[in-house]
Amino acid sequence: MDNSPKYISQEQQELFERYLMDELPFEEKKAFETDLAKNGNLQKSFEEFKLLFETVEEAGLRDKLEDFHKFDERKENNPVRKLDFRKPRFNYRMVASIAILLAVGSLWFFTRQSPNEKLYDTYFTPDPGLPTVMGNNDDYAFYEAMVDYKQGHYGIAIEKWEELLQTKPENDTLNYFLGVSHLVNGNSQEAINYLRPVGNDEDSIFFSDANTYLGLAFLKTDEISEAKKALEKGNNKMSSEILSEIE
Amino acid sequence: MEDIQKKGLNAVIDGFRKNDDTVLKRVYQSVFPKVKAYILKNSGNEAQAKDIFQEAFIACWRNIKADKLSEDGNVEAYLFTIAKNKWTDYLRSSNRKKMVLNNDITNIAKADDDPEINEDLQEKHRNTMNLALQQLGHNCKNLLNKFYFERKSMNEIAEEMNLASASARNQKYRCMEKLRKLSLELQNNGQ
Repeated sequence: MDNSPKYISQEQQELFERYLMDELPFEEKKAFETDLAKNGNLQKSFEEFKLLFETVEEAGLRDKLEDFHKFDERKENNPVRKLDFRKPRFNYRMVASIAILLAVGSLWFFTRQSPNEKLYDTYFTPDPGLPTVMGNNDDYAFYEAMVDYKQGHYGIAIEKWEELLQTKPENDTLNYFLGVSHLVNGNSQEAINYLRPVGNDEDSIFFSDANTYLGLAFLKTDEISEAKKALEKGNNKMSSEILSEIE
Repeated sequence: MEDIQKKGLNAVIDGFRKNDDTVLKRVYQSVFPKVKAYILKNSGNEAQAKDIFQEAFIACWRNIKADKLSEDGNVEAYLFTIAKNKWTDYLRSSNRKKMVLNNDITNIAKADDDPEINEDLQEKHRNTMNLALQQLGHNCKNLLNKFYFERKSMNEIAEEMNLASASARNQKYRCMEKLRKLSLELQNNGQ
């Protein structure tokens, strides 16, 4: 009935699996690779199994990608939007809240939050950062700090970017990420100093996001009229949501 | 500092190799907005941005598993570049089709040495395998996915699926055997 060559044994399948999942101890892995190089039949069976394995794995990833993508479907139609805000019911809000609680420090727990602080806590999450392609030396230095930023080492990122800023004081990207980093670290006033010029630069791709962060920073410092002005300039869905909650 | 950076980046590569959900999701959600902005600025729409990016993500993931990215490589920059290239290829191919159609040639024949032919064959083979996977029963697909993609242990899987551990292990073997049989049948039928 079945004319195809016989399938491998269960033991062989499990050996192939362990190799592909990188679970073999070093010696066994080397021995297996030696066998593969010497034994054409084994190699053929392995290649066939590998293809089946990869098919299952890739199908799993494709399904996952749809889940990963849901974050974007909830955004408004603003193509250059960078903020990764979530509505309160989504998990990311929880992650953002934890990050902020850690960053702001234990004082947070001992002081009563004002309504504005609660609003800030609900909506703030750091910009996910940029995928920076390394080019010249300045790019490299910027990227190095971006790695720190993405790892949550905001203080180190701030030190490095502030050094770079000395040679490029008007660079919107630097000012923007410095502002966000200071905001994560709880230094709202510093954040405002960096974000304000970006929020006034209509040509910057960070213009909209910078104004939303600026609005959040002003919420933290209880400067409501300034917060409203910035959020109005932010002109994106999240800014509008925050505005509606202020009013 | 370089060590810290390398460690951080290796963790991303390692996460890709092990299908670490958190790492994959973080990279996806950090790079997609940039790719989308790029594609929207370059005559594309949101649906195209999603398709191109997801294909790029899969290619990036495959290449990392095949060790095509160096250990200290930057996954996010690499993914962004793949997506950009895919978009450029897409634009070029649609321009080429337009030019051919303008010359009243309806069948686009590719040259023999066209590297895309090899890619097409690989793609066709992948499609056959996927078709075989689709024909596998739900339980088998579920079990295999948990083990090969989610990298759960057989004990965890057995518990989740209400099976004895030995039975789950045996079922996994049978499911792979069945998947292979289905894929051979499809290949023999010229799929």
